[in-house]
Amino acid sequence: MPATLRELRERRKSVSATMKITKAMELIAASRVMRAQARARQAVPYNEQLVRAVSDVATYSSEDHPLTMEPAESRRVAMLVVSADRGLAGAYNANVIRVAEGLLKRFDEEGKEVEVYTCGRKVRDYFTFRGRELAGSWFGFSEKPSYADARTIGKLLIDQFLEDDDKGGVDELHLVFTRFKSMVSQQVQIVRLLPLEVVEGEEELSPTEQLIPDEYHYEPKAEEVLDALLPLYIINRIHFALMESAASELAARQQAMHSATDNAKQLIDGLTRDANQARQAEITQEINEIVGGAGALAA
Amino acid sequence: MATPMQVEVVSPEGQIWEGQSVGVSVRNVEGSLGILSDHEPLLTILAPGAAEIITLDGRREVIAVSGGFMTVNENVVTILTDSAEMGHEISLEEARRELAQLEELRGEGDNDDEDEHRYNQVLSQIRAAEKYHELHG
Repeated sequence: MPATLRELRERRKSVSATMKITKAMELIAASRVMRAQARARQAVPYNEQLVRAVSDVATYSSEDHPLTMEPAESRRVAMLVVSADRGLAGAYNANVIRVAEGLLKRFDEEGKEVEVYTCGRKVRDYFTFRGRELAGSWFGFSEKPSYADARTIGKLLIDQFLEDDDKGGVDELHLVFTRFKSMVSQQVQIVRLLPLEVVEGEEELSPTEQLIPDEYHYEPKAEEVLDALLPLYIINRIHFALMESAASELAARQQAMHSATDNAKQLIDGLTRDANQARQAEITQEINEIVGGAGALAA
Repeated sequence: MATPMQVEVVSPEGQIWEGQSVGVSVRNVEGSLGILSDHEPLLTILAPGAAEIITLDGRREVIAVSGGFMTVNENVVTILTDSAEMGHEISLEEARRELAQLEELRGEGDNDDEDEHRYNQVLSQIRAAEKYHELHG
């Protein structure tokens, strides 16, 4: 039996209420993504200067720093997965989880023990639901990560890396996050954060800026300066990854909500048409009854 | 007159201050440090404290710097720090009150990394605010 006119109208009302919500969420995500991008831009000068300083000191200091040293054999690795706190962002969280699972599988095949750290509620829930023990998790700031958040995470992970294996330390640190390429394209990436490879700076420096490093005077000694700079560098990388992920999450949410709004519009169009048809059929039937009734009386 | 220096103070939240200067004074791990034009290239770790920048027209800018480092190279001075505030934006009373609280935590030994960081930040604010009041009355 086809739906009655009343049912169709009710369904249309409910869909248009949903559409109002998705539309609002789309607009909110759109304005927040702009702000997230602006924050990422503000961090650029700091990042540039820091990379330059680190690569200067790193080339000057001949000694291997504990944070840059390749371990002879890596048995235990840490993985930090960055996802969103909330869903309704299309495939954003699913993509992060898929890549993280792939990485976990690879480590398993290589016979490495993995410690999982998570950032964001969604990925934490995913792993805890599947009974995987998490070494650490943070959440509550996925849309608007601050430098302090990155510092908390970074300090803990650096300590883990410097700790001996027997005491629960790790030999490598991998980061799974989502790079913001454009409003319509975000890509999940895996980056090995530790041991550190300082490469980015070298290309960025133009010949005039490239000082002969040992002209620098270090206070205190170069090694100690490096000791202080490298953790800052790692924290900055984590901050950067958090900000990229935040922008990606918001862009993905905007996209998802945009298509949800479009779908709702289509549904409403269809339902309106069905409702009109049902109304028309009702009228036709009524006329038929009246005409039929009149004919019967006249006969 | 000596060539002016280009000074920049940046934090992850963005650029805090930028301009030309004839002299910069900061506090590093070894004590107070003054930078004038044509200083040799230098990279130093900063201690929480006030950075004082004397601008071309003789104004003295005071900025609270919670740590980080400073590079000096060919009359370009760059101060990188986790957090920085302009001296005139700091409330000395508030900072002193917070410092007292943090010191209490510290005394009891139950302060975490975040508290320690906040301690450095507040300490730098107080030093900067005191200097600011000393200079500007």
